[in-house]
Amino acid sequence: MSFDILGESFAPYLMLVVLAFLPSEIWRVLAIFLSKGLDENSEIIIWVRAVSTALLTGVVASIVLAPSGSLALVPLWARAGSVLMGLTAYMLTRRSVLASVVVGEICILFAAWSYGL
Amino acid sequence: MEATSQSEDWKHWAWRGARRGLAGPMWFMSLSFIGTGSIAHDAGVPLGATLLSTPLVWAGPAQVLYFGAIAAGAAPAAIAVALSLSSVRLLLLCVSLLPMLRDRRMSFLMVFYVNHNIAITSWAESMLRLPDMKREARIPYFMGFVHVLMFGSTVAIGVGWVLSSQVPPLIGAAMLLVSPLYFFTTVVGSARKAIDWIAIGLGLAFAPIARAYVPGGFDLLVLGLSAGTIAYVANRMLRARRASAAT
Repeated sequence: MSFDILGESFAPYLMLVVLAFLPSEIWRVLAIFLSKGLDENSEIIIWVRAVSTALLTGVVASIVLAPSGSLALVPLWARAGSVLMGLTAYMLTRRSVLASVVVGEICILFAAWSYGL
Repeated sequence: MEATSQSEDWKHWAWRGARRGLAGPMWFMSLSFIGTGSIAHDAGVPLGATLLSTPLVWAGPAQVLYFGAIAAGAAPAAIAVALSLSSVRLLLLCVSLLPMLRDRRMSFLMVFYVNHNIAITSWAESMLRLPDMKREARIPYFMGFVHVLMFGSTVAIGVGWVLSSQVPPLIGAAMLLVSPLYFFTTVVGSARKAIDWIAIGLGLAFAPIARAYVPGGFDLLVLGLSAGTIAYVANRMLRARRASAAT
């Protein structure tokens, strides 16, 4: 086994800093200055929170709808069903995220196995 | 003598925080970071940048979004904007937690570093434990806790990246679902009010439409803005109706 740990160029690191680190860290830095006296319940924050909640849900949906790798070989209903079973386990276990992950994983493993993966 | 007992105390609380992380949160976070690592591998990101993303970005959802968007071939500007929008919640987490940790004697660099470590899991743990804790104990406890999580998650994202190319398709498929499972459960679990539920419902409903009709990797951004704005407006209308019904 051998890995090209650093990749072929500097580009992935520059991309990580510019497209991932800076766009997220900017909010944390802003918080340092705003942490005195900002109203968490202001209208703009409520709106932005709703936008990000929808966006995060969309991220999950897009992984389930159009996954990469071998997950794409499992039918859509099984991918969505596994997530729903995980969510059901979460509700039934009084909010155990671990139970959700374990149950969802068992479902997707069974589905993938029965489809010959 | 005084200095010795102070550093003993610091060690005591840092160790308690670390033990708390080892008792559960580290493992459960690591599980999802294995999945994130495999997404990064599929996106063609080298191992070094994948490992570095954990201490640098330190926000699981943002990392999933980043590698997912790269895998989907999204436009760089769209990645930065979508990532920044999804990280707005960090502002809220930091603003609500930082006053609990901050100390006037701390240098800006120290405040920056403590603040950088605030993310969903460390915030939830802090909100649960810190209020009843004496002020001097909070920083060491938080640092002990968060560094255990960071160590576990960094190892795990690397393990996920490495395993991704080796594991049989069956296990690979299962690993790729860890992130959306963890992520969806966390989003639904943090929903408290009508506006959250509407945003989640519309986010799911709009996803196939946005994928089909919005070009250039802006689908998630358009989805977030449209579904989130509708949820916000609907929530305002609900509030107004409730207010008028009450009078």
